Amino acid sequence: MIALPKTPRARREALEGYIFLLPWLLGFLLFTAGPLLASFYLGFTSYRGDRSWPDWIGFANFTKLFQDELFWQSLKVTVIYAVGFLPPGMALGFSIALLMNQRVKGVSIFRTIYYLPSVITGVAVAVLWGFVFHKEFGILNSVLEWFGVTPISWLFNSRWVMVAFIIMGLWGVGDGMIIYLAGLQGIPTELYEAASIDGARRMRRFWNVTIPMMSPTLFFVLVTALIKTFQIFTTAYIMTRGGPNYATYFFSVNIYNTTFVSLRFGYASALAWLLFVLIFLLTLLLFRSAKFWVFYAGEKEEAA
Amino acid sequence: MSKMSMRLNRRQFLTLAGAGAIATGLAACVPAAPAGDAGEAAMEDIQIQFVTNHGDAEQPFFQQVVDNFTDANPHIQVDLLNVSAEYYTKINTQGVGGDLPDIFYTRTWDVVPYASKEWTVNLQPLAERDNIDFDDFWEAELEQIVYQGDLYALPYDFSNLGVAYNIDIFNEEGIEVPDGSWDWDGLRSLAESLTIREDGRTTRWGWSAHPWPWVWIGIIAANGGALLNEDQTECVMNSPENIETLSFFKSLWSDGIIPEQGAMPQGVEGFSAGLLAMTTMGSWATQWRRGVIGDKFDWDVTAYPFGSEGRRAVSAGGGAWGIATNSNHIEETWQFNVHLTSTESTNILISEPVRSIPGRKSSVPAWTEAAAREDLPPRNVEVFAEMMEDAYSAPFPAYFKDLETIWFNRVAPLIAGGDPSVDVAESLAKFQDEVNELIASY
Repeated sequence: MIALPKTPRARREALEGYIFLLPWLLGFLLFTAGPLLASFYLGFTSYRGDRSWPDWIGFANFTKLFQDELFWQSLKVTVIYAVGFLPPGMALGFSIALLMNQRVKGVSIFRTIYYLPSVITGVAVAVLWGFVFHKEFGILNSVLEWFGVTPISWLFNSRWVMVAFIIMGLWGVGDGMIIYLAGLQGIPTELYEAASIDGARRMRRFWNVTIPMMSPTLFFVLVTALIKTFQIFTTAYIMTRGGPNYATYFFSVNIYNTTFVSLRFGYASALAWLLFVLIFLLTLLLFRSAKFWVFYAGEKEEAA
Repeated sequence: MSKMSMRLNRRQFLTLAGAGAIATGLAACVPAAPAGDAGEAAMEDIQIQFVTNHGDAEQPFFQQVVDNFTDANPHIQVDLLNVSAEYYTKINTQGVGGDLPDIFYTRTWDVVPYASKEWTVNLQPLAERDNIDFDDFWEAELEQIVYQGDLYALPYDFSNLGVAYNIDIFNEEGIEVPDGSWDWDGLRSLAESLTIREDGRTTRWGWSAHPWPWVWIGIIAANGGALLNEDQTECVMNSPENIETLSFFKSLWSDGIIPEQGAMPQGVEGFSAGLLAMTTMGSWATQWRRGVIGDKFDWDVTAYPFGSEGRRAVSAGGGAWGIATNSNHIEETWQFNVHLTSTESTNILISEPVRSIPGRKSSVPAWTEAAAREDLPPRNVEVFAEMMEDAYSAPFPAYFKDLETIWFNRVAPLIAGGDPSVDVAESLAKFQDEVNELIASY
């Protein structure tokens, strides 16, 4: 139950808060909540975009999902991408953040350079990487050719296309880097000083001070990156349309095709809600695991 | 205000907001209101929306056709809108929302899906009432714009494919240009002799193919195969004839005669850049090719090669105009559609600019005359109309869009290359199974 502010001044402040919140709230109610609820309803219908009222079919869409090979394929490639991208992506982002946290001349320029990919839109990223992955004229194959590697058709060969997507994803690790950097700069220096006085060497300080103090940040980045990874769409839609041989037929591409190509709105809504449930469960699992590895300084102090 | 009353109000508010949101969300699914009686409002000023999917170059021709109509019918205002990007996504969204423009462009393979969803008006009674001359339309196109025996669109243009060739390259190599009497082996050997490899890299390819399924329905038929059985209830793609055909086309890229997908420089059109000696050319691309090639080299177009069955069976598909069931002015929109697809308008839109094949046979003389008058490549443009004589013709099934997705994943890599490990028989077997599953779900 929400406690009402007691003093007139506090009430006024609360009112002002709600007024500031109002544009988002109205936008959410009008443009997001409506389609959200409609898609929930449609998930239980066989609606295909025709002019009749959607037929209620109960859980049929959801049971059909598990016999649908494309559903499993899209889930498989999404999981492969998540597993292939998340661990190296987080490690790389964190490593770059450690480097960017050094007191060296011109570090802010490097920070900007590494963060730059994160502000480029998906379509531009797709076009740019189209050049990099080009079989005949791409820079990647040119570099590999120096080592005697035969040119690879990165985007049209089902064996290599996922590697190409992971490389493309790793290019955007600057997004997490900036958050890690903020976390690193929030670690009190006296902790390092105390550890040094106790005789802790560099690696020891890293494992026993940096990592525990960074665990809430790592946790935050892991959760948000996991959600984002499961929603990968733009680059696949622009560059491969899910192919070749469904090798990049990510879950979101499947939802898009089912909706806008097949016009099977009922089934697509069921797919979308299943994706929500999957992400929700994974996030829940991460939150449950947090108590084993995420260290909150405030909590410890309170407990002590 | 007490806490209790505050909570109650919030609850009421959420209930109302939720109900409002559901109503808003589901409004899109509500069947459209029946069209108004246009007869009653015949002379009232009305406005109809006309949406096309064409290039900027064609906009003035459409405007001219609209102006001709509004001059004769001053009480009808026609709002022309040319949508080029994401056209079909927009049409699909508007179709679901019951908010389609009164009259809009539709490819012939979209006519059946739209009609089956009741997005477009059955034009058969109106066409019969106004004695529309069906004989003036191409039979193959009529077959594609009819759903359950009734007409659902009026034809705009019809398209098939030929082979464009760079005359300068042929002259440089001292090779005679093709005259259209060739078969696929003939195209292969010619393309092979025009391909150049320097330092292990191809600098010019002999030919290039389109991977679109509608193009291949004809090619495989010309070689004795088929995509679907006659009543379109079963996919029969995994046949020995089709395995042989697709193996032949796979050998073209695996032998380096045609570029694999991704081999051409990004953003470069190979034929106009001189990287291809020959290429597949759609009949609709005349104006566009003239624009991009300019006076860089001389070129022309010839007929598709004959298949092993002794016919070309070139695929044909086209454009047409559908009227939305949500239109409040169906009668006036129909009048405009009749005007838009008349011989006079077809001459303005297609014959004079020499684009595609006119949707009306009566516009063909004006089309060939305009082509000859301009004396610009491709001078042999009438070959497109000639190929219509043995063109492959079949209606597109309602599930064609879904079939396309499976095609691009399973069959297109066999035609366009990129993955040397693809196996023809395995890919066709998977394609067949998946299409049959699709058919069963419809």
